[in-house]
Amino acid sequence: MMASFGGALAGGSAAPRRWPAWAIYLRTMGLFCLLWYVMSWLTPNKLLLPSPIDVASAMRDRIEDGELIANATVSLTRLLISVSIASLIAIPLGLAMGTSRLFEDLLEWPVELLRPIAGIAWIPLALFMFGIGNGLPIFIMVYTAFFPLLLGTAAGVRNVDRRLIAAAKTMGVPRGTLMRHVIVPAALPSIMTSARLAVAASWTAVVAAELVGAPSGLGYAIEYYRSMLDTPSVMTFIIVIGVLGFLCDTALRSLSAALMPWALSEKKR
Amino acid sequence: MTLQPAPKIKLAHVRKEFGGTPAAIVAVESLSLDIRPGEFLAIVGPSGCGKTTVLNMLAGLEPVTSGTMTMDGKAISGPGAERGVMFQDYALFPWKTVAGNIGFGLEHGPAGHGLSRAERDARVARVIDLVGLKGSETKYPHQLSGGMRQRVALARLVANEPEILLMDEPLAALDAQTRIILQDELLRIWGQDKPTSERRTVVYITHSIDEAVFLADRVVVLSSHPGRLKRIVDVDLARPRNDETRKSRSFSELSQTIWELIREEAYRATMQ
Amino acid sequence: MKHFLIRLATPIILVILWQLLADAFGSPRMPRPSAVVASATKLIGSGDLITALATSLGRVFFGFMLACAIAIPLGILMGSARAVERNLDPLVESFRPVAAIAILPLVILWLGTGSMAAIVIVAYAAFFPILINTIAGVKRIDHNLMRAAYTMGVPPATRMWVVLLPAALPAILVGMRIGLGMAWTAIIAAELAVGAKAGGEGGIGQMMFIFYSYSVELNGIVVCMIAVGIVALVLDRILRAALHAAVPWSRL
Repeated sequence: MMASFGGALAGGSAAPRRWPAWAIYLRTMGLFCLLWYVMSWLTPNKLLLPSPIDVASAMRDRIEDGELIANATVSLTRLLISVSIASLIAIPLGLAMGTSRLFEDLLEWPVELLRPIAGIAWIPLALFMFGIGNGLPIFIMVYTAFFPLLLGTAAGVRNVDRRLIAAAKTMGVPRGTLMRHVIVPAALPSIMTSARLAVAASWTAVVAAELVGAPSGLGYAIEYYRSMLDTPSVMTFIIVIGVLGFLCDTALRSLSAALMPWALSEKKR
Repeated sequence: MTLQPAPKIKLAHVRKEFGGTPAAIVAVESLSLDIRPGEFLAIVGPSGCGKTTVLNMLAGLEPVTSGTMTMDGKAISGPGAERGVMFQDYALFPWKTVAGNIGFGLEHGPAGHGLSRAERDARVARVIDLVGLKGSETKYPHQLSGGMRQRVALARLVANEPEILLMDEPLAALDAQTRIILQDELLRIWGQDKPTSERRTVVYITHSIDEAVFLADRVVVLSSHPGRLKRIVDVDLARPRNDETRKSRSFSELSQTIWELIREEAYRATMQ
Repeated sequence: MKHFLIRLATPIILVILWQLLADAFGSPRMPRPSAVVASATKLIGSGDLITALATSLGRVFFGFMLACAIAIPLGILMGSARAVERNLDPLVESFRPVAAIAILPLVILWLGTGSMAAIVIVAYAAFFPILINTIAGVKRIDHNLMRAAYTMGVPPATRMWVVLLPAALPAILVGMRIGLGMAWTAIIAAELAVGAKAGGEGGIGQMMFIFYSYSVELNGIVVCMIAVGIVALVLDRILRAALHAAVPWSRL
């Protein structure tokens, strides 16, 4: 259907319907690496743009000396801890906000006033509060993950189909059961979507926080190798950040699918 | 009707307003009605007659503005498991399978109190059989056709064994053939072959006059804006009813009588 | 009215509590509302705060415009031409999870620590939300709208202007709104990081870092944080108003 008007815009691109998705992926990324290689070959200073081969060998070195695994483990652990803490606070509060007018009145304004202040803007104050170490990145990440989770949960609860609640009430279901077996499952898709947003935002924040205020982790590693003028290693860690961010999102999507077998399979993105 | 048993549900001068004063809209005005135990009562009327409002008040989902509504002499003040509801557009829990939806009230509500796990499962299995959903127990609502979802909603209502079955246009969303099949099944499940004392009380909202006449013992005709009682029509067609009933002369005559009652208002409603 | 009073009361009570706790238990350095107000008055009076905000906002403006100029046409192309989307999607999906702040060291290497680097970081941060929403908006268009224009004999280029673009506009503006928020966060992060590691030149993020590392003026930091929040709020409101003004038919 798109082709009917898309063709006019796209010009004569040889639409390779026969190519499977993975093959197209490999072809595109292959062309990208080729272009990158040629560009680096044309760049006189290899420090500015190392070739893909240099980056590959730097990646092998960083795997072999253990730096890659160690720093990735540190950052991922911080992510896991922070998102867990944020979920434990934000989801119950969101449920309360969605079901109780009083909680909504109490929390709405403080949340709306704090939310625009990006987690990253807390870094200087947090440096003073926590110093350099685990405390700072975890605080920044919990803060960053908190708001999407809170507001996503509250919105999910508010949008629960009223008829489902009415149906459960006419079956004489008590309040606690109503929350556990009707409201929470009905709000779950919204909660999981906000969890994906929270993890993505938190993952961005961890890099920023480690770049400035932690003695370990992927953000720290990038900054360390930059100061050593080891550009291939900097690129290695950038790639690792991207791949891990992608894998975290994929894992959450699978978790959503496993938790909500009733939902129609979510469209990509 | 020679012997009148005590009414199961009694509505006296029920009035329902929506919105605040002074711009309140009166949905139902001075409605008085006795609903007898074991009877199948249908409520019809043009759109805007407050049929669904009456049902929601009976279910306890909406409070009455004034007047009284009692069941077995006690005022109806909120939802209760003794009054089961089948909603017009399914209201199935999307995260529960067919069996999970049907067993919901047994598992979480008072309907299942005193029943062992095995007894509950047996009841669910029996009801699934009754509505013809065998083989679909583990499917989710989104995997079912409209007719099958409606069967699940009906099975969920029946599984809880409420004293009163309140049904809000339960077959409205279905195609004509499925409707007829489910009407027959509904009467079978209600127990039209059994004596009145073994039947449950049904209050059935519909906009289809034929459906009301085919199913009900009495048809309550409401007028609209605001909803008022216009007439109660006794349907003295023999039970069990079947396709022969639909073809009979008295069936069409009764339908015609009711249509005469609401025709003018129904036409007016389409103009609005 | 009752709800409004409760809403108003909570933030006020929290601020009073903060003041009382800081007075009672905090070290003299600990920020507190009274000192924050004093610090804000001083920073606004001297013009330092306004200058820093203006520097950051200017970078955000240029970076954001750059992102729009590339992402919107590219998104329309990718959304309407399946072949282009299939071939470019691997690149988008590969770079999207890489946070803007992660490429900062590379950008500093290439462009130094000045405004150029900041603009590139901002553009990178805003690029993906705009691109992805534009693609989705174009793909969601009701095919029959395009067919209706087609059957009325509207030529292809005109169809793009009078049907495709207006129909995708709400989604594009949603992407711009998300992108602008990310751009603002990214500039703070970039200026903070640059302030921490190199000279840099101005901006609200660097101002915060200087307060931290040289004067340990925590009240000043809090003033900057509040300013960051207010700017984020205002930017969001502007784009929301633009959304309402530009697409009066949309119920967003």
